[in-house]
Amino acid sequence: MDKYKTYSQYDFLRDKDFIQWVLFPSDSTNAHWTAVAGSDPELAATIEKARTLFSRNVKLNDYKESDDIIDVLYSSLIGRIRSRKKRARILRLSLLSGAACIILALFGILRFYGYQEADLTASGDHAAGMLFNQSSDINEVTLVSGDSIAFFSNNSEIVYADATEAAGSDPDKQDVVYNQLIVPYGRRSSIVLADGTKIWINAGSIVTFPVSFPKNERRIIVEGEVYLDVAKDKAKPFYIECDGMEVRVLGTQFGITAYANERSGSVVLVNGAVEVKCGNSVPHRLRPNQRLIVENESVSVQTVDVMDYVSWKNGWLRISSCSLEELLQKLSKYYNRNITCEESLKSLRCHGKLVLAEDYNATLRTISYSLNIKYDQDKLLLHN
Amino acid sequence: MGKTGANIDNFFALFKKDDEQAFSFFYRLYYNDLYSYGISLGEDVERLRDIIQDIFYKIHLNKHKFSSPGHLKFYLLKSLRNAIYDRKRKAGSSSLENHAETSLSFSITTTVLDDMIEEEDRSGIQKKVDGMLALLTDRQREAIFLRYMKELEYAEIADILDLTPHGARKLVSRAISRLKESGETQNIPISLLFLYLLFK
Repeated sequence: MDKYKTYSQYDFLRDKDFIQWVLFPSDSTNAHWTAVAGSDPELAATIEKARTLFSRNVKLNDYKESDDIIDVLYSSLIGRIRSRKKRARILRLSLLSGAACIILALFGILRFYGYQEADLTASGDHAAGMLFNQSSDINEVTLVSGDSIAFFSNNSEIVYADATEAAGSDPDKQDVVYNQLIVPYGRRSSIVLADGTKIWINAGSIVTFPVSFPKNERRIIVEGEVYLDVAKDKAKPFYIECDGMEVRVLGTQFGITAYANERSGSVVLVNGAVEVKCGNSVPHRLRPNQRLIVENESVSVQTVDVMDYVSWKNGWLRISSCSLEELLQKLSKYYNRNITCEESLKSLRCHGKLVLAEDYNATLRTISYSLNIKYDQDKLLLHN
Repeated sequence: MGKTGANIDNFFALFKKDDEQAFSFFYRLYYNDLYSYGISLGEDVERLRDIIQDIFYKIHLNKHKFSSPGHLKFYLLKSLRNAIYDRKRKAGSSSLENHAETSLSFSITTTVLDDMIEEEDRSGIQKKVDGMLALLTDRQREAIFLRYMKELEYAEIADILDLTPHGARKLVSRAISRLKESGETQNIPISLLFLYLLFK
């Protein structure tokens, strides 16, 4: 205490305890120095001068970019943001004004940016891996067409006209041009292809498809979960490729599940007929209400209630007696979030219809109300 | 201070309504906080700029999620750390022996300006502060950086460093006691020598 009496402000600057107090104050050091200053008003003034001098001159981790550089970086960022807004605005306007306008707007965009004669082959790995990165910042339903990218709101329906005719090109000579629709977690979308086939696409999926089909066949590549209503065309059989499976179709309705990060895939048939080929094995023919599962190398077929598997396309999940743990696994996948429940609740049986809200919290609150349990939003946990 | 406070809140309200000027305000306000944090974590300048751009781009898409400027600042710092951590973890996984958990180094550099302080005192201060900080672990340094330089709450620090708020408090207070210790051991030999000479 006494030693400070003769201190000048510079002596304080040389004092380790003082330095520590000014840089990293704590309750005890604050108390100590308040007492020191309190004992003598002149000393208090000197301490204050020393503090000011110190704070002005001593900086820790004083890393900065210059204002000029920040200006440049900002311009580039705001440019990126503005062009995204502009594209989204154009497309949203189109969607609002009706189906005919959608076709024209899409067509306009494809024309404006020009086709890129991509040398994409119908190979699952290459095309599906193109742009989609699960931890990326793709938050919206995204359509990729050559150099241009378009964003759509959740649940929008995208319709393709038969571009070959309108573009005045010859389907025989043209290379097949592929577009890609990316649907991130928590979203759904649907698309109508050039031949009238409608595809519902579930969260976390990508569909790669030709803008217009060549003469002899229709072929698309799927990663994730889709539901198809395939338009009849006997002259052009419809094929879907996904992660080692090839599904051949002749005018039917069915669902396919083949997520790249899961080891099994499945095909569920609602009506019509499909033939599924996995690897080099003999093709399996499915009948309605049958579900084929491929796990590692083995294939099995079971009879199921198809609505359990495809109700998501209508925006809700049909649950007929599954455990809460299983339900939360499905929701975790759909929303790409780790949602769990307390141990004691895991085997709780759930039954009914659950609407898949865009906000996962709303869906989970619904579950908590109907099961009379509690939902902790911070921990994504259902508990008693 | 009151006036600035009111300004920030006004800008924040505009920011949430997608006002471009307000977005620019927060960009410039927090850019260097992110930049200094990134450099302290050992990231290189070009990569750091890209990371910061991506973070602000995402912020712009998700602006409705923020409840206050403080919340925004915290979220920015947390996103930066996660981005750097993720990148280093991925880079590390390509090496052959990688059993250790990825840890981030954290440096604190002292700068002493010369506004009314002489060279001798300046280097004295520099040595003392560097000496104090050298005795801390990376994590302790990061915690006191977040607490004293970025002025985050303990709950926020806990979230960023994956601790409980209590754990965050302990980390900071341990760092502070460690800093204190750094002074005493040096003095003892000298005073012992003094005593020895005195009684010779």
